[in-house]
Amino acid sequence: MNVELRAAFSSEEALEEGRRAAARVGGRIERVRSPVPPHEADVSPVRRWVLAGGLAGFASGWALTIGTALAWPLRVGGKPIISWPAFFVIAFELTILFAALAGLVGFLRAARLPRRSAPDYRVATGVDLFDVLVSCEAEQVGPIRDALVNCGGEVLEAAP
Amino acid sequence: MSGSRVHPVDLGRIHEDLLAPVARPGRSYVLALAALAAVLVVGGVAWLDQVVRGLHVTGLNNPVGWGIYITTFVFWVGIAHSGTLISAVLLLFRARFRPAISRAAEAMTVFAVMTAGLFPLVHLGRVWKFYYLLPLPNERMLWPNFRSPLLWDVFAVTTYVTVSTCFLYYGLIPDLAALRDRSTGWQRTAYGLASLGWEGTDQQWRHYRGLYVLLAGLATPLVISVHSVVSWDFAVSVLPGWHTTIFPPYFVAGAILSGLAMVLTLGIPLRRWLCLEHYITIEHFDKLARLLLFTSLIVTYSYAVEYLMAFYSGDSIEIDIFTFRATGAYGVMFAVMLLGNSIAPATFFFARCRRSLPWLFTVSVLVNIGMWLERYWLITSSLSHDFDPAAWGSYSGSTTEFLVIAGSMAMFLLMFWTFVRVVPPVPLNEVKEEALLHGELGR
Repeated sequence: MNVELRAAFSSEEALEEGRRAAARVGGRIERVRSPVPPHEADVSPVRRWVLAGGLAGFASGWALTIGTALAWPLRVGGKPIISWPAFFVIAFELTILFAALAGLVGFLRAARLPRRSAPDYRVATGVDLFDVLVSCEAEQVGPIRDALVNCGGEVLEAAP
Repeated sequence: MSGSRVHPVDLGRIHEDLLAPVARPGRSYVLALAALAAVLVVGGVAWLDQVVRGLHVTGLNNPVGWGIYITTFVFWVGIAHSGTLISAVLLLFRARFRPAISRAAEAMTVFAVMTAGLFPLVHLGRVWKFYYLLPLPNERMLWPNFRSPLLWDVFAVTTYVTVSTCFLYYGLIPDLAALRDRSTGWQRTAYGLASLGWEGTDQQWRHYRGLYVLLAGLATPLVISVHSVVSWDFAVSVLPGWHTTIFPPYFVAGAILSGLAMVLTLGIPLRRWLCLEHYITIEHFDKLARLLLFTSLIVTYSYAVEYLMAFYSGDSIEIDIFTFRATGAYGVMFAVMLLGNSIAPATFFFARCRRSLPWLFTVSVLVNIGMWLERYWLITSSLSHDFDPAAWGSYSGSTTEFLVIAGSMAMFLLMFWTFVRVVPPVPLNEVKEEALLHGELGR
């Protein structure tokens, strides 16, 4: 049977030690909550959204300017119908705009937001508490609880 | 763990200190906001009067078709530019003093660009035709002219206001969650909706951090492009005094200078009124003053190069316009502009001046005045004194124009001072992180 243990730490260092100790004795780290960003984190896939948005914006900028210029080809100020340098400004601005908006959409998807607060959310984790959720088999609860407590964690609950 | 956080700090105290300003404001604060709202209403009424009676209530004429409204548009766009630039560039460079000023700078940006965005509309005689600026499909297949710098402006400013607002809001999400957690009733619902259910999980922080740096990376070239585009409104024309390649860097440097000055103008009272002395310190102001000095030197260099190139070119028309700008009525403006933008900031070579809050505030106000005058000087002088003496004219702003300007100032200040009582004026998580990494900020 799978069991979940929750432990709260007063510092990030203690949390880090607790995570490692729990993992060493077979615990799986399901989730960490903290008032500040973790010191080290994997690269986020949001960057791919930003790249895709930027490319789409760049293409849209050229499509809009060239498409509308060709829809009614009117020579203005002696400049060519397709004025690359002038149109580049629009393409550049739309590159940035689409990249930023796509990045936000990517962030919301990756971070699974917006959402309702989870039932186990504690206000203190937004203030000064570092909390970790560890899952394990029932027979591992004892060693994992000891590992977390030895690192300064306060084990809050053990739910089946 | 490399670069581990070793400083014992009281995160709870930082949390309480920085959320403390978000409280019911005192009576004097509310009265000040009401006074600003009254000025805004007066400005709004003056504008409505202009809409009803037409542009003849302004001082605009032929040949001076761009006056105080366009001056103020460029001024607010300039103010807007520095905010995101300060915040984004300092983030990319990992400047430790960034958290102290980033929120105020970002908010200043958004409110300034919102104010700026009104001026092209105020300047329109028939404001209800503003949608002609937008590339909207229509039955006659009429599209805007994308070769015009005025349309580049529409795209640049619209993109800038959107990305700056995203940048500001994105940085606010964890702080909005902190406000949600300590609120009750409708405020809890409002902050809860705005914070999107943020819980500070490791996955949320991972993606948050990833995008924050990318947004800063996108905002930095955007800022430079937008004020370059604004400068092309002038430089792409053929008028003497405008048609010059130095304009984009000149305008960008001027924008950063005026924006830094506005950060000081707002930040010094903000620190005092909201009791943030422990988080916004003299050290932070000292660093801002150094940045202001640096940009002032660039702007001063630009003034010198403009004059040098005009006289070195041997072009009689160019020499004439630059002589015109430095003498007569414009000469007084030129002197005040040099005082505000070049001479007063030069006092920041001395540490005592950089660390004196009354002097910092005085210089910041002088720079604001100097930068507004610079735009007025630059815009109206070329229009009133072009190639043909028979076409020369003059311009002075009307009461309507000054009332609209006063209304715009009030609108900007009203939005800013309301904002800093609704969300933490200093970013919570960044101050906590800085405190964990390097010891408590400012203590």
